[in-house]
Amino acid sequence: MENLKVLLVDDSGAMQKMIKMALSKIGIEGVATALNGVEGMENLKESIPDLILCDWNMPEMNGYQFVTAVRADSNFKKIPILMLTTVNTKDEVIQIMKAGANDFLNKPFTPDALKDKIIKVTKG
Amino acid sequence: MSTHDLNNSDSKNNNVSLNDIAEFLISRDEIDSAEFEQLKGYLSVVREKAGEDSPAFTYLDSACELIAMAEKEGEKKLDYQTVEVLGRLIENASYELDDDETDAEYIDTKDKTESSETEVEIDLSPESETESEEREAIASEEKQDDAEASSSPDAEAVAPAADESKPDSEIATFDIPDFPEETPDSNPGEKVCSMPDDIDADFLSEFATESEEYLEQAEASLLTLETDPKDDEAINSIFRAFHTIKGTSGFLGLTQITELAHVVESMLGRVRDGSIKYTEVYADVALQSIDVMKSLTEIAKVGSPGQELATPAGLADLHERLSHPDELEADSQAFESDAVDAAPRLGDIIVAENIATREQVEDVASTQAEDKLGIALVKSKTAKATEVVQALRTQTKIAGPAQTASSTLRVRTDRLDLLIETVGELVIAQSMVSQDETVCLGDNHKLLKKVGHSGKIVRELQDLSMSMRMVPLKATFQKMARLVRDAAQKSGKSVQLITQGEDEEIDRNMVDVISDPLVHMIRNAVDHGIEAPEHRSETNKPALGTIRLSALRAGSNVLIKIEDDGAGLRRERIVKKAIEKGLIETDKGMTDSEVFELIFRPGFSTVENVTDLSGRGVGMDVVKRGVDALGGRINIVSEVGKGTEFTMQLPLTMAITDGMLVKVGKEHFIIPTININRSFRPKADQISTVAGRGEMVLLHGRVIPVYRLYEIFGVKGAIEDMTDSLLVIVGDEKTPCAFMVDELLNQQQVVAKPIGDGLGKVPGVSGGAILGDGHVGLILDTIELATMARQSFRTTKIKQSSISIKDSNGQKTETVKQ
Repeated sequence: MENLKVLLVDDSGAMQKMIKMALSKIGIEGVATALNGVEGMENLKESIPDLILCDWNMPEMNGYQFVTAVRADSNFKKIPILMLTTVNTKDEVIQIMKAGANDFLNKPFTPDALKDKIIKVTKG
Repeated sequence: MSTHDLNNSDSKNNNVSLNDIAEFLISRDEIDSAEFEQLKGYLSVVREKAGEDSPAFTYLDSACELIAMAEKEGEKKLDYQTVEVLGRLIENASYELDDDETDAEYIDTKDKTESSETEVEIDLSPESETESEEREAIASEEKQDDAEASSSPDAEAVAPAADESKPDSEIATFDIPDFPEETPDSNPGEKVCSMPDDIDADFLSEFATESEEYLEQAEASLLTLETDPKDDEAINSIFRAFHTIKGTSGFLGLTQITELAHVVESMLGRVRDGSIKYTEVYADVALQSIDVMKSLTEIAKVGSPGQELATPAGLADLHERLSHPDELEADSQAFESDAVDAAPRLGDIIVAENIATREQVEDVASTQAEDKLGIALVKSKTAKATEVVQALRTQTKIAGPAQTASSTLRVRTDRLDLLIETVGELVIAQSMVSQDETVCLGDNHKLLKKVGHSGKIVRELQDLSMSMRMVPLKATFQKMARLVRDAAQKSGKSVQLITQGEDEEIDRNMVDVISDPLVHMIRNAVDHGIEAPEHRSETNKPALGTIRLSALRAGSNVLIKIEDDGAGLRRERIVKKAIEKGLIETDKGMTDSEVFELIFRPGFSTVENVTDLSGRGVGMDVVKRGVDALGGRINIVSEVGKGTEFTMQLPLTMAITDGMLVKVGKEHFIIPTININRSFRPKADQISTVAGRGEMVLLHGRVIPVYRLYEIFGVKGAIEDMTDSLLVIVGDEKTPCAFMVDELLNQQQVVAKPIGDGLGKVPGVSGGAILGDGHVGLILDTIELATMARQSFRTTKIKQSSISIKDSNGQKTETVKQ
């Protein structure tokens, strides 16, 4: 788990820092960041991560569009995607799953909760 | 596996395994209605057994919903995508249940021994590769369809399912979904919150900075919504602001902020998905929320770990309003019907045009309720039919603008920008033709005439294209009327706003940018300018204070004036404060306007207690900065007891710059005319060199630093003797400086263009323009240039032979050709 390469897509700098801190607490240091889906796609073209953490609500290209675009590319089909967002309704859950994400985690979360979810989606 | 049948499971004992469901799903091509029922039944059995508190519940609940949705759409079979999503939901649920020891009994023991995890996963491997690819292709097509069908997919994501069997009345309410920190039994606005003990100072300041940015953006978007309530992106960006603040504050444990962000987000979510209509009532609530949020952030920013946090004014009130969404909605609807009534009523017109008296009209209206008023008036012979028709026409004319909307066409701003830019190029190309030797020096008069004619058309085209991006100030001014009303109400003053010249037009791009400074100055006028009513009556002023907001076109500038008949600025108080704050040492030799200028300095505020009206954490320095950024000026005239007058001078557009063409060696530069105070040729006794500060020139008793433009840009062959050169004084009253040039050529309007991405940002240069003779002139950013020159003098004297900057490849490029 320590060697996981993670791509973190979130439009908030503060949020990025906090998630990185949480990741670092559970031993993950290899984190690439992108501010929106467009940047995220650029990033994917350079290197394929072991896991994508992604916000739902972003400018330019939002989480739905990003995940859909990732899944539309056969190179990225297998990358586990965990949405980090605030999900309140069944519809939102379905929407996230429809886009092609593996699971979601409600913000705010504890490092432990993040760890559990990461183990779950990466099957490791 | 392929012949899996749910009926074979031990369903009668409710001992359904998720694996069975998963296997069932992948083994089926078609599902009939009975099987739909079965599937739903089994899923709900597992769901109920797991219980609402189980983390698996959400997944199972969503799976049920998904099946119900598919069934409702009359699907005979579950498509690949639905199966995939169901599979993922079931996988997630199964994992959660597996995790939970107490729930183990729900999983069939037989399946459990076979490692449920791998089996639950929807794996298409049993199928042939080609078939699976086909399915994938279909699935991705469907996804695309999905994306196209809903232009804003996340709006859909938050949308309450219309088919949810809720009573209609509930749709208008914000039933707050289960949120961990929600405490429904206490009003969050009244709760005392303290800073978490383990708060990280770095993150806190990061959070505060970011939140402020988001809130500012949200404010800007709210203003956009005032003019265009249907702007989805604006609503989205406000939503995003609160959404992000909710997320980040949650991490930091700032519950007060998280709770407020949550309720506001819920309200905005409803606006975004269209279940409530955006009106000014919601705009007010959103604005109020932003204000309170700003204070909360401010409070948190300076708090230390464990410290009890103050509750800002308005928080409790806001929570109160947000917790009664139905009342809000009622207000909102009332507002809307007001708006509809805004077109004058027929009766009013009849009265106004002296056709009948008000008593007569009201009499008719009350006795003949079954007819429309117009018909009733004619029937009762109160008015003639022609008069009524005339009145009706007047009414239509007044209400008219709403209906003429169909004759306008929406054009994307970037296309318009491109058009204006292209026309700009055309103007330049045309002037190159007209200045060509064969045209102006030749004796072909016919050609000269034709070129002249085309030039006229090109200039008309330029005016026309510029005018397309111009919008009247009306919308901006109207917003101010509301602002004054609200602000006056809050501070218990009675203030009227008189607007003038609201038909003056200004570049669309400028509207957003001037809004902020204007809002701030108007708030200031109400809050600090106009005195309290009792104080006004003491000084023989009418109780009703007046703020006059006017716009006046002056050449290529627009003058926006804000006058109030309030207390005026007190010189001695400003001086005292400025000395206290260390802004000045003495006011000796300072003119009134120089003293008044001090209020634009950062950190200056004459009112001790910051109110929630004007004291929004920013001072007049923000106004000044905003106006400066637009290349404008601001001027204050004030008389104690009589009032204050702020005049903003702004360019009509930022696309065209009024510039002074100056010559330095063989190079031409353009200095924006608005930056220039004066120019003169210095005499030898005016020039001196101050140790450590460089060359200075003495002008009217002031010592002004001189920077040689040819040195800054490394131009050779320029005049080096200062007494032969011209000095151009730029900058504001506080920090003027002089640039040394060879001569002033002429004043002209130039179309400002960015220099191009390859060069990046060239320091001291705001853009370039193609001059009439085809040469490129650099437009100087005098403020930046002065700062640059000042700083580089301090370190080393500028020695560069040319400015070199790095382009994107890291290669050095010459930006100024010699």
